[in-house]
Amino acid sequence: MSRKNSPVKKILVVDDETDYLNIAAGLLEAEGYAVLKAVTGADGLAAAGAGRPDLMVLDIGLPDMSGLEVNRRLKQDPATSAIPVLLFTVRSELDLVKKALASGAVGYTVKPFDPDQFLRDVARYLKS
Amino acid sequence: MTPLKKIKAVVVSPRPDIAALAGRSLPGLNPRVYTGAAGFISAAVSAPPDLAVVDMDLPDISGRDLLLVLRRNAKTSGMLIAAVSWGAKSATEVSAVLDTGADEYFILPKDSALVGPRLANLLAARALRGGDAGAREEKPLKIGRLEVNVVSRTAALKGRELSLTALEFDMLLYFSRNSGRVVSRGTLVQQVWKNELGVNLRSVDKRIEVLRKKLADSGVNISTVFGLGYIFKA
Repeated sequence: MSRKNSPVKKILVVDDETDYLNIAAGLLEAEGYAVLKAVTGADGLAAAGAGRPDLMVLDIGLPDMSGLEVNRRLKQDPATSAIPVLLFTVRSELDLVKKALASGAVGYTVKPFDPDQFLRDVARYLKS
Repeated sequence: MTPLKKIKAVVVSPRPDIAALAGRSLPGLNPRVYTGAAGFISAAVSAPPDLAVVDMDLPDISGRDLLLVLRRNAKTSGMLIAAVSWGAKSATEVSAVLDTGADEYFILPKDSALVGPRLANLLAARALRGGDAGAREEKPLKIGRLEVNVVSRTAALKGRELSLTALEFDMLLYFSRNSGRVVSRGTLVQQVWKNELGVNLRSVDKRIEVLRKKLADSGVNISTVFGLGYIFKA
C-alpha cells in the first residue's frame, strides 16, 4: 500500500479481458497505486519500457502472444528485466503453473481471484 | 496399513517451524520440504506425493490457488492435502479452504497437538480404501445459512429447498465454488452459460438480480465490484 509522503508505486496491468483489467485496476487505484493498463502483449512491453512500473500484473492468455513470452522478453531487456511480474490467469494446468513459476515470475494468481489476497500479494511483491 | 516410511509426504512452507512440526507429528514420515510452490509443483508433475502439508501463506502462489491447481489436475487431484496456517483465521476463511479441497486444515499454534492424530486418521482412512484415492466425494457446500448440494443439484436455506431454475443453480454453484473471489461477467458467460449464443452482459446482470432475491435471508451476498464483476460471500 502506498504511504503518505512515499513515492506512489506504479503498477502495470496487462489483460485483454477488460472486466478483469478494470477490476484489478480499480482495486489497485483504491489502494493508492498509480495504474497503467494494456490489453495486448506488445502494448504491455511498450508500456513497461516507457513507464518502468514497479510491478506488472500480467495475464497469460493475451491475443498476440502468451504472457510467458511477454515475461521472457521483459527479462531479456536490461531496461525491464528487474520489473517483478505477477501472472494473473484463469488457467490452472499443472504443467503451465510449473512453467510459469520457473520463468522468473514472482507469483501466480488464479482468476476468479480473491481481491484481499491479491492486494496482499501485490504489497508483498512490491516490498521484496 | 502402509508403513509410514513408505508414504511419500511433503511439506510446502517457507516456515521451518511448520516443516519441523509436520516431521515430529508422524515419526517416520520424513517429509521432503519445499519452501515454495515452484519446487513442489516441479516435483509433483512427475511424482505426486501421497500426502502434502501445504502452508496457506506461500511466497509465490496463494495456498488456496495452489489447492485449486492440485484438485483440478488428474495427476494430483487424489492427493491427501492438509492445509496449515499460522495465526487466527475466521470460520469463513477455514470454510473456504476446506471447500477448495483441503482434507484437513490446521490453525497453528493452537492446533499443533491435533496434527499428528488427524494426519494419522487421514492416512488410515486412505489405507482402508486400499490406498486408492478414488473419486473425491463432492460434499455439500455450506456458505452462510445456505447449503448447496452438487449431487442432488439442490440448494437449501435452513433446511428449506430453494426454488431455482437449472441456470440459477449453476450460477449459485459456480459462485459457491468461488466464494470470496471476484468473478467477471465474461467468466460467468463462459462458465455458466457456456458461451451460449445471444447471452450478453445485461442478461447476466438480470439473472444476478433474480438470484439475489432468492438468496435474501441466506446470510450470503452477491456484491457488484466496480460494475464489472461479482463477489459472493457470507
